[in-house]
Amino acid sequence: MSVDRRTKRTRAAAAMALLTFVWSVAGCGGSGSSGFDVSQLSESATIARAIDTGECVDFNAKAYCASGAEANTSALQGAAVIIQEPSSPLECDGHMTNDQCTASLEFATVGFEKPSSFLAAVSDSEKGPWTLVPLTVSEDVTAPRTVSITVPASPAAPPAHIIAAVLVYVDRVPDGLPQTSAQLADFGADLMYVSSRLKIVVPN
Amino acid sequence: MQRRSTVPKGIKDVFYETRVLSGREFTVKRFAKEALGGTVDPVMLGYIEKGKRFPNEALVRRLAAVRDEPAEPLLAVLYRDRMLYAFGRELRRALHDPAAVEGIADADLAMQVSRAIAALPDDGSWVPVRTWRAKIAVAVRDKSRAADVGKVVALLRERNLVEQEKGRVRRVARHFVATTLAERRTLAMEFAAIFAKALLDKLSLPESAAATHVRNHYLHIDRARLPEFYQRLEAAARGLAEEFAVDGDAGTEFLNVLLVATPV
Repeated sequence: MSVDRRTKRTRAAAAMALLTFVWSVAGCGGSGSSGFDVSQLSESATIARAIDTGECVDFNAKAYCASGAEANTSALQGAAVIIQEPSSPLECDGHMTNDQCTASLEFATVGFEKPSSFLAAVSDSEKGPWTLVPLTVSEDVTAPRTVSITVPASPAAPPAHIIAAVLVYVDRVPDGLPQTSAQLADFGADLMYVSSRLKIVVPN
Repeated sequence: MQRRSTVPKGIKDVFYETRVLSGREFTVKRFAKEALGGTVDPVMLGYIEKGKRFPNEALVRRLAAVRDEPAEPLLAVLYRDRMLYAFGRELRRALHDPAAVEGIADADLAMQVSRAIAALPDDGSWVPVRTWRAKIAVAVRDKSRAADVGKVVALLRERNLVEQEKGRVRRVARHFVATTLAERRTLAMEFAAIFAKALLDKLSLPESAAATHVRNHYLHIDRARLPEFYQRLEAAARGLAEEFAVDGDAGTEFLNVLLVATPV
């Protein structure tokens, strides 16, 4: 019996030593950085900064703007997209299935002097992935456009978090865009407007 | 390469450690009289050890003799501390910050944050919280401020730079942004400390010069391309840091790379 206990103890000690060893060799060295500005090494950090500051922020030669911020790109100087965000969470108001529902969000455009085209995409967070969503455009170019956002949600589920993006193309939307992309920039827009972090609730 | 301490000390720490670690159980009074030959008043020595006063150069030379070391490295520490004190005083005026001047101690929080982030693997793998906290504690020069380790841990969790669960921790982001006035002040002091040390190493300490790299690059650049230039400079520095980073141990140095680019 005492031999068994000793064996168990030995095995436990060996397992602990192994665990400690694995922990100690796991991973490689670390590095980091600190500064007074958000690091703009990622699209997600750029989007977060645009949302938090309410301004346009450049990353990899693309401009990411908060709703209402005037664009500063040469082709779209002075133009802006205003995403009409509700003060309370968005409510599903359209098509609804067992596990998905559709909410609507409107946006308006101001100051566009050149013919432009628009797409809309949504993501759970700044980190993506981004998915193109249906966009209803009226004949009157000054009228608000409506973005339909389909989210996986049910009345019992907690509110879904989303960020909506309006993609602006000077002239036409290029062909062959993916339906879903890891980065917003992959949709090839000339300018991108992002909403603040929104919540969508499903009415009972 | 000569092995050097991984934790840069202030001149107050050098005085304190020389007295306490001499093995002769010196009181401040006895150390002032017996080791330093009565060249400094014990009350003043107490102030120096607490960082409330700077020693003069003659006293630093005397201390170097007690330590049986060349005086130049200790004088460089004194010069750096004086520069930081002056920089901190002017920085507070610029920031309209009424807080008292603490000199080198002001850079401690930023230094601990840097070490805390670098103590977690770049690949996001988990490490025991206890191991991580011990590595941060190394950066706390003033042991009376050991509680700062808890502050650093809380700060990094609050900023979502680290994730902690079941006694282990991992890094989820690598860039700390100083946001509050106090954080901006301490980070500015850390940057100033790095720059001052680099210049002093290069200009007055031949033994340390080889381990320090100081260079100014200059060019005319299209103003519109400045953001792109900075992004690529940052990406290059980050790529190098991640390529060369290893676990800290007795054979490594904690290297600080300070990037500054500004139109003049």
